Amino acid sequence: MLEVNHLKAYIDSSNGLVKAVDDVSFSIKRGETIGIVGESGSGKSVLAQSLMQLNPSPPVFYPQGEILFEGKDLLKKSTKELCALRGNELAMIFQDPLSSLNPIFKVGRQLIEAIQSHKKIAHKQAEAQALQLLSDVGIHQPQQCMKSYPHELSGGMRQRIVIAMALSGEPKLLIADEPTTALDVTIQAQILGLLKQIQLKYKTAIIIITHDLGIVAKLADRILVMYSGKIVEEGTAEDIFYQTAMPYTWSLLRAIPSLKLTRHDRLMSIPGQPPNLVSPPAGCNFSPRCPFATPQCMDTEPELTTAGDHHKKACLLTAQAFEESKHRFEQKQPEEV
Amino acid sequence: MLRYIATRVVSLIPILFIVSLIVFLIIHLTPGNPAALILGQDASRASIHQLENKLGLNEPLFIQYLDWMKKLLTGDLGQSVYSSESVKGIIISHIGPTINLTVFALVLTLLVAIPTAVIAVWKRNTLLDPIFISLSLLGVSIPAFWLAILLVLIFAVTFPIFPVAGYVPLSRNFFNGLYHLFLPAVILACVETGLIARMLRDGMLEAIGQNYTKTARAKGLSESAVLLKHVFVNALIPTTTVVGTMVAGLLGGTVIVETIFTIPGIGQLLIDSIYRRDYPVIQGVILFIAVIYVLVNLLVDLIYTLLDPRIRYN
Repeated sequence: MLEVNHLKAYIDSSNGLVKAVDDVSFSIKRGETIGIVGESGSGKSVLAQSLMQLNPSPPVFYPQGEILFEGKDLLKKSTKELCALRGNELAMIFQDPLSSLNPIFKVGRQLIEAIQSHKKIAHKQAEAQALQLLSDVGIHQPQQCMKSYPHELSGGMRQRIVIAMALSGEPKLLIADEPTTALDVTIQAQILGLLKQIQLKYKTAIIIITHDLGIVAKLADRILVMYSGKIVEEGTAEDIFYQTAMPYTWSLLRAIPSLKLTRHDRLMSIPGQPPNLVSPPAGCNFSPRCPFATPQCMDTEPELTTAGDHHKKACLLTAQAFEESKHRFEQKQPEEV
Repeated sequence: MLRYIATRVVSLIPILFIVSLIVFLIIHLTPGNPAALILGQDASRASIHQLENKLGLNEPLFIQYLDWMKKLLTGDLGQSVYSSESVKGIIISHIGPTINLTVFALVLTLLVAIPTAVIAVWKRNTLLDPIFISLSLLGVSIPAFWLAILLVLIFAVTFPIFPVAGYVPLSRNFFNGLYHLFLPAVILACVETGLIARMLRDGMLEAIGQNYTKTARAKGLSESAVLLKHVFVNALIPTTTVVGTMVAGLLGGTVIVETIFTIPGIGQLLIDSIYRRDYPVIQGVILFIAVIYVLVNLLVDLIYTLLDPRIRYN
C-alpha cells in the first residue's frame, strides 16, 4: 500500500545540509504495523512527516526517492491533492497531545472541522459522527468533552481526541509519531491498546515512530531501526530482540534499564552522541560509537543486506564476528554491567 | 466576570490617586506664574498678587492639593484660570476630534496591517517577506512630524488634493469631516501599521511552528483554512496588546499631529494649557489621559478572555 524507495529528505539549515533522511526504503501492507525506532535526532520524525508531506518546505527538500501510496508518488502530488489525502487516507498522531490541539477552540469544533474537511455533510451529522468517534476512542462523556477546551482535559484524553480526529476519515494508514512519549505509563498502555483495537476494526496500517523499544516489541509486525537518517536494521520483533545483528540495536537494547538492577548497578548508555548529520562520519555512521568497529568500518559504508528471512542489517561485521565481539565485550567488563 | 471588572475598577482608585499627586506636584513645582501670564507683562505687582489670592495660588501646596482633591471627588475638575470655563467642559469639548481621529487612524491601520501581515506570512518563503520587514521597519522609524510635513507638502501644497489643516466636526458634515481628517489619520496609521503588522506577522509565524498547526494540516485543511482559522486567531492574542497601547496613546491626544493640522483635540488642549500655565486644565487632561490608559488596559484584558479560553479571571 505504501512503498518508500530510496527516500532522501535533507534540511537546508544555516549550518549546512542536514541529511535527516538518507536513502531510506521500506514498505507497509494493509493492516500491518511497522515500528520505526531511533534516538532523538535519528531523522525518524522527519521521515514520518515526509510520508504526510508535512515537513515545512523550505527548509526540507527531497533530492531523491519516491513515496508511493497506492502506486502514486506523494512527492509529485500538488498541495490540493495532498490536502485531499491528509486526514482522509493518511492520518497522523503527534508526539505531544498537550500542544497538538488548538488551545483556543473547543474540542467539538476541532473534531467537526476534521470531519467536514473531507465530507460535505451537515453540521448536525458531523456532530453525531464526532460523538461516535469520541466514544469509539474510549471517552465516556463525549457530549461534555465536545464542549471542553483542550486545556481542561488530561493528556490521555487529549491524545484520545487527537486519535479520534485522525480516525475521522477512516484512514488506510495511520502514522503515530511518538504517540505515548508525553503520557504516563498507565495511560501509555491504554493508548497503545486503543491503537491495536482501531487496527483490528478498520484494518488500518500503522507506522509507530518511537524511541521506546518496549512499545514496538508489543505492537509492531516489523521493526525498522534508524540511526542518523538511515535504516540500520530491519526485521520482526523476534529478529530485532533475539537475533540482533547490528551493534547499534544491540547497544540500544542494552541501554534499557531492567527492573532487576539495584541502585548500585550502573545504567548502560551508548557512549558519545548521535553524529552530526551535516557532516556525518566517513564509513559506517555508527563506527565512532561502536564498541566493535574495525578499521574497515571507518571508511566503508555498509549497505542494508540480508541477515535472515525478513531480517536485514547494515553492518560490515559478519554474524560470527559480531557474536565473538559481543562475547569478548561482556567478558572484558562484567563488573560494569 | 462582573466581579472581576468591579475589582479592576476599584483598583483604579489608588492608581489615579498617585497619578493625581504626581501631576499636581510636577506642575506646581515648575517655574512660571499663571497670574502673571494671565494679566500680561504690564500688570502691576499688586494686581498679580490679587489674582494669585483669588486663584488660591498663595495657599500652601498641601492646601491647594486638598482643595483640588475635594472637588475632584465630587466630579468637579475645577475651572480654567485662563477662560474660567469648567475643566470638565473643556475636556469634553476636545474629546470629539481626538476620538474621530483615533477611530479613523485605527480603521486605516487595521485595514492595511491585517491583510499585509497575512500575505507576508502566506508568502513567507518569497522575496515578499524581507520587503515586508523593511517596510514595517520604515513605518515604525519615520518620525510622525517629518511624515506630516512631507505629506502636507506633497498632497496639500504641490498637489492640493487635501486641505493643509483644519477640522470639520463629523456631526456637521460627515464626509467633509473625514476629508479633513484623512491626512492626519494616514500619518498616525503609517507609524502604527508598521508595528501592528509586524506583531501580527511574528505572532502568526510563531503559531505556524506550533503543533496544533501541524495537526490542522494533518487533518487535510487547506493552507488558507490553516492560516486564517488556526494561525491568525492565535496570533491575535499578542497583537491585541499592541493595538490597545496604540488606542490609548491616540486617545490621549497626539500632540504633534493635532498641532500640525490644528485639530482641536486633547493633544492640542494639553499643549495650549501648558503654554498658558493653566494648572487646573493641565491636571485635568493628564488625569483624563491616565484614566484612558487604565480603562483601555482593562478592555484589552477583557478581550483576552474572549480570545483565549485559557485566561479566566476570578
